[in-house]
Amino acid sequence: MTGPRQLLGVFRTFLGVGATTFGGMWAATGKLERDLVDRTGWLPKEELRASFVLATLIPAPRFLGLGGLVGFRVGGWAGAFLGALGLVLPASLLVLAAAVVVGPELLGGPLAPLIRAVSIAIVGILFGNAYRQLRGEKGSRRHRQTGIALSAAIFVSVVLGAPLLVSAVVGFVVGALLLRPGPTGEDR
Amino acid sequence: MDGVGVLEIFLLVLVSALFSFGGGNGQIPLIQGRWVEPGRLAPELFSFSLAVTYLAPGPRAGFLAGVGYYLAGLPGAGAAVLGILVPTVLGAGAVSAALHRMQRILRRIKPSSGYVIAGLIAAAAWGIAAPLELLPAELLAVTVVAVVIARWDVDPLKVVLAALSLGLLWSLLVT
Repeated sequence: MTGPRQLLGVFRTFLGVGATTFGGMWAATGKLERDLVDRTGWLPKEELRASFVLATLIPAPRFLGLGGLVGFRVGGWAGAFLGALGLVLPASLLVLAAAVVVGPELLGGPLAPLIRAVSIAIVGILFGNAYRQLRGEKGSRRHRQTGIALSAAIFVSVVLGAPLLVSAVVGFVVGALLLRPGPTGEDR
Repeated sequence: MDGVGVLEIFLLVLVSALFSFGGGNGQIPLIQGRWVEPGRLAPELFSFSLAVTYLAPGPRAGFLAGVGYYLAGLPGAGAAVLGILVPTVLGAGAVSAALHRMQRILRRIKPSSGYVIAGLIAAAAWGIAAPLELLPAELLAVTVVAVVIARWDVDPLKVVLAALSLGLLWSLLVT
């Protein structure tokens, strides 16, 4: 049974994620791993990684879907609601404040360079994150080379227009065939 | 403009969730078709709500609060946010039930999961970069940020705040 303290923890954790991450779920993978795997221990790393992909099966923006998935795991239906609410609340309040306080006339003026500068930063953050993800993988040299080739194939397939979910599932299937765990459960 | 009721906002956002399978913001085309094109929501207000989310943290779905507010005030904003939360929660419950039965599959995909995620992250970066048609100086900025993040694991929030400051400076110089 999930207590109010744990539900509050779900809300606070996702409120923190929602208030401090820019660029969507993929730009936040490092912070999410630190918060949801290392700090709270709510789920193992591989389950979080699977959840990144499974979130695309939820009929909602995928970042919100991830909040719902992890929230559900920790606190059932209430956890799912509080996780998703915490995640979307900061952005909603900020947009609401902008709608109430300032007007759309900013769009053609000072807002345009700000949006472009942030977009450029987010592109850099995402590429940097992708590299860190690759660098964090363990295994033999052959294992790593195969894995990097798999990453490149997924990247190219999505860029060429393949649906993200299809590319991810095919990637997991090919990866499961080519990158098998060792007999003790460790990656070869 | 015709008034839009709170219930209509809630229901349209709820239904639009069906167009979000795959992780996108499926609400955008539906809102355009139902409220913007018939003139019930001014295009500049809709664009403004979307634009602000680029400067806001968290999921882009936050723009729904702005759309709801412009249509029906604060109750409209609440209805729009609730409209996106309901399918999220129901979907999370359904997918979690499936995940519970997938432990064997999770063990099989463990060695490749980091590589798959890396490919998806890089594809997301490309998805944002391509429409921007970056200039050489901007490409250099992307490279610098990527190296800083990859090499020193700097908090992305600091990078975004730095970008905001530069953008503000740029904005002041241009206007």
